[in-house]
Amino acid sequence: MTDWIRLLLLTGLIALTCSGTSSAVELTDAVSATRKDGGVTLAWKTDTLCGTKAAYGTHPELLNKKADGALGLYHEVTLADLAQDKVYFVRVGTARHWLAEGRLTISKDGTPSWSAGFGDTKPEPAKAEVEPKPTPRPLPKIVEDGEADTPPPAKVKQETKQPVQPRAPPTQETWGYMPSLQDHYERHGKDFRCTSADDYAAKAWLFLQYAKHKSLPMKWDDSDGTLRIWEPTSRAFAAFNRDGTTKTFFRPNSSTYWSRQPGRLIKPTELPF
Amino acid sequence: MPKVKHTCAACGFSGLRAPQRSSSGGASHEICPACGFEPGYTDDDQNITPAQWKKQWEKAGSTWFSKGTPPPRAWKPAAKKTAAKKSAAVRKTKTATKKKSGKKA
Repeated sequence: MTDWIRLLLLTGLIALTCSGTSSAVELTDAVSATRKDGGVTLAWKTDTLCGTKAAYGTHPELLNKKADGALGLYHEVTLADLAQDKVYFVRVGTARHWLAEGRLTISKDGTPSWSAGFGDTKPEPAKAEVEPKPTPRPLPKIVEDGEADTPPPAKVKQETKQPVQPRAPPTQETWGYMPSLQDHYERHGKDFRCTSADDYAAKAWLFLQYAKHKSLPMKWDDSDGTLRIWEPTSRAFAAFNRDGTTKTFFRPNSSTYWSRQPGRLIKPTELPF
Repeated sequence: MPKVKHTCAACGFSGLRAPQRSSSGGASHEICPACGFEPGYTDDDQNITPAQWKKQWEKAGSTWFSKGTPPPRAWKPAAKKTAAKKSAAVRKTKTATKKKSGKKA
């Protein structure tokens, strides 16, 4: 029994230690909306490399449509199936958490306009020939007072749950050779707008997790056990040791950089870590 | 068992932890703490050869590059070593000339 308590304490301690290592992503530019190829494209910028995700719907509590894009600093998603003369509620953010929310108004001629925040969250009055109106559902009371109201459908319950941003472990655990970290950070940290050496190491670790999740191109070099990863959209490159610790993380200038890297292509499931 | 150290292709610093290139030709990405040459980046991406990098580094004063790794006690950059050798040679020549002229007088 005491072992269990120790384990719980240890887990809590690790969580606390980890909480300081990764920094929050922030928007550096307001969200913009433009009409493109029969849909509406939302664009925004972030201060750090991260994923692209949007959720939208006709009611702020029913953002049941999803769209996602590539990893990068400049983000774009195209929202399809939008009706004219209608207001949509949209949340945009990284693959892990939301960064902004707003109202996307589609005019009668299909011109989109974005206004930050959900504002008055009452849904638009019903039009003459509108799609079946979603019943606005209050957030399940279970969240507030521990007493369940009418249990909401599983779908709605899932959407109200905020995804958790993975936190990078302490730098000492993720970076291969600590005395070299400062030099790598000073040389390559600006590629990903890193604010500190720890931030740089954390981003490299997050990149590895992202690469595993998205099955990015990976090459395994049997001669020294180096794993090299490439993200073609943001042109980010990283090299890792055989134990998964980081060697370097940067954005090469050369267009043929990845094709010149040695090693055999490998799937995330084949990785030893 | 002492760890094998490796040499920087640019400045000749012999305290690197890994060979700068593996047998496959892959770069170690180990930044040389002495001159800052990074195989796989300086050469493969910036297109600067080790010789060119060395020249630049020497021109800039051959200062110790790394902020995280301190220089070894006995470390002297190759350029300073060469300069010291040159000045010692000049001093020797001067002394020899003086001695010769003294003898003649």
